Amino acid sequence: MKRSLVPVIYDFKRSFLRISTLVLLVVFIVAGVALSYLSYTMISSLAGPVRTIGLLVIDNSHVTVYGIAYDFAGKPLHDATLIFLSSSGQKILETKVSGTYKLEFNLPTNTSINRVKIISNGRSLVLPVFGLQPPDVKPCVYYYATYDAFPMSEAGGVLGFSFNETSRTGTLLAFSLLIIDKSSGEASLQVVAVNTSRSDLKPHLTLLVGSAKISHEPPAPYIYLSKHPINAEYHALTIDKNIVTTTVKYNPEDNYIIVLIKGSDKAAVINVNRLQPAKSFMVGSMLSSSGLTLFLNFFPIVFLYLAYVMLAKPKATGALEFILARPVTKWDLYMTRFLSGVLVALVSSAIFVVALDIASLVLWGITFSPYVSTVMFLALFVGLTAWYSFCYMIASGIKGSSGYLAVSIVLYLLFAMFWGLIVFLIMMSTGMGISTSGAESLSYKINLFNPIKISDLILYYMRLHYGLISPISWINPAIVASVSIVWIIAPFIIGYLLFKRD
Amino acid sequence: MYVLFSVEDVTRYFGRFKALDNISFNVDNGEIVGYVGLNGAGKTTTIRICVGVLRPSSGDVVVDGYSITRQKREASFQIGWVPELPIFELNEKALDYFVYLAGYYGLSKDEARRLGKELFEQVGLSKFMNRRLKHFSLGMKKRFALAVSMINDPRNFFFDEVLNGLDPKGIAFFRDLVKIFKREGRAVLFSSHILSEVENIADKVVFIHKGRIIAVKSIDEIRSMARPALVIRVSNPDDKLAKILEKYGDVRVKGDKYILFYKEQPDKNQILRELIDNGYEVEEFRTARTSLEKVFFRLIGMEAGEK
Repeated sequence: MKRSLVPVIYDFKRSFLRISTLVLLVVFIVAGVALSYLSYTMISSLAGPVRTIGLLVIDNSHVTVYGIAYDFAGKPLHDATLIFLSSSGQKILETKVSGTYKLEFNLPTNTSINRVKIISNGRSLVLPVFGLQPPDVKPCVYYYATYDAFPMSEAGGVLGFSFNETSRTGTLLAFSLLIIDKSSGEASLQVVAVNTSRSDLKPHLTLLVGSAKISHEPPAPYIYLSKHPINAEYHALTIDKNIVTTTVKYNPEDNYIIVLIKGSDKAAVINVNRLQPAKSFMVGSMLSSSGLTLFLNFFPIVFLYLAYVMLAKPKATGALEFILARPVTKWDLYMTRFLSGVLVALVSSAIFVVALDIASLVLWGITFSPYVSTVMFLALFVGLTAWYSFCYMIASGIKGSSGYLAVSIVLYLLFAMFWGLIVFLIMMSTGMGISTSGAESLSYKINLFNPIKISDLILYYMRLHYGLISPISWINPAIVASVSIVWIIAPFIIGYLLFKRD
Repeated sequence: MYVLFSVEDVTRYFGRFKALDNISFNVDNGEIVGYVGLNGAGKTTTIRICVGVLRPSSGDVVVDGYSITRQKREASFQIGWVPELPIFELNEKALDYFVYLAGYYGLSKDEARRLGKELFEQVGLSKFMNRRLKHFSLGMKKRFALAVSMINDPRNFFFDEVLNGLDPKGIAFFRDLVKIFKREGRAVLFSSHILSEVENIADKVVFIHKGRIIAVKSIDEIRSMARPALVIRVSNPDDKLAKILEKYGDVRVKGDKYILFYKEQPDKNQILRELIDNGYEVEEFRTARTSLEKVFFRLIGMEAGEK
């Protein structure tokens, strides 16, 4: 017998293209992006996207500064203000800088530079100034860098070259490597170098940058200095200016980036896995927390309502009987209306993820990696489908449509609004506290019993990706898949058994 | 004539209440069958089982050789149903909802729209295709249900109290339609409280009372059960009048009327002449027949008496 998909498509269109669905989808996308933007600006004002690296050469009281001001995508900052401060907080120099900068000034008597403050777009960072030589050496070199202040996206260090141990002169090179995109193996390299053997301070050396796959995990979290040569495919970079900024390509399969000066035996070895592209980290973690949470907590209202209009109401008014008089079985009808709801979950989840992606591209200039987008989409789709399946079951089992609304709204409030309180009370009753790793694990376990929060289990992988959570041993893809399937299939089957009763 | 659908030993319980008790009857092709019973007798339950929206507790309905319980999809292809109440999703526009329902018959959107326009024209709804069903009157809703019931050009129709709430024009429309269906060899089962309409249209009447079929009578049998009578009213009645009339049959006096139930077809002119010759001023003189309603109540009474 000829079957048609027309009813499924039609039910989908009726569900998705209804004003309530579309309005709420738009509202939650806008609210999600807005909330994420708010959280982002708050966090970035604390941790700051303002970056700089610099070397100060102090010869008697004459100070020469070479530095670079850049943002967290490695692009030059054109409106930064640099303030050099003494240990007592006295302002020694305040000047505007744009991208790479060279500054020269005289130091007041009995004053030393203790800190450097960089301000851009209302965000500021105060950086300590470190001496690279004993203070009696002339000229004496100091450095400051933001990678120590905000090290989750960049790593750097200071390398020496052709150093005369007696006069303590030679080339000192400070660098910072900022991961831009891990999937394509792109990093931004900022280099500041001075040769104190020369009066013009000009360096002349070749910097080698390469990557390698190292199976043994070194102890240092971000960067360590290796005294042994490391086999890698190196790209040579001539450093014949005091300031060099460049983009570096590395093999994304590799887990380490090695930076060394040609001819030197010391190499800076950077653990790429410990670094996250700063911008995508901040934007991603903001969107994934506030934006997604808002959507996941409130958009299920749409599915509560869809189960009402697709099943509870027509069942109560007898409209389903009129459809059942067509060449369909109860199974066909039950399945058709369920599938249309699943399609709405599929499309709205996809739209939400794409909208966030577009918003992050427009507002922050980055897009999510395919992995993050997929995890976000799956979390939304599974969470919404599981909740729809649950509401569908209630609609099948309860005769009156108002009875359905009462029960489903109470359960929604329980699962979406008061669940956090329940989790908190359980944690308190176990004496576990809320900030331990055990508590985190317990929270995920409690969420297994909530069809809306099941998406949290999938989002675990995104939080893990951004390093926002420590690995939890019992969570693995098989468990996540099984629990998701059970939350979708079990209410669906129970609902059908209730539905087919006359 | 051959059987198009048959109700076979159908019993249906709602909880412990037995709504239908082992009922059976057939409807042949080209046959219009009236389904008559008091409220709550089981008419709608029977029809809901016939169209496959309610399962019988036992028994079956066979439609064109297909069991409604075991071959629901195939059987439903042969069925058109106009329910008593407008049980649609009323927020939908008429043609859109028609297209949606036609999808269950495997029609594409274009096919369904074309057919929808054609059928809406036939049932007189062509001007209201884009109106939401909630804005339809009861009669329009019934016409809409009729259009939907004709999607697959079925050979069996079930009309449940289809005339209820219709204006005379609507009643005439459905009456004429049923006659067309009969000519086309389709089978129609229709329940109705308007027994005069059943009498006018039906070939056969199935009487149901308290969930049991108490009689299945052809319309000829019903007519033969009905006792013809003459209703007579004169301005100057007296004791002699009843005696004159008793020569022709049984006489009952109801108010100022004399009702003569005659045994054989009398010469009405002769009765009238005799009354005039005897000095009576005749004000009313007409034939009356016992209605289907009375037959029905007589059957119910018999049923009660037998019990």
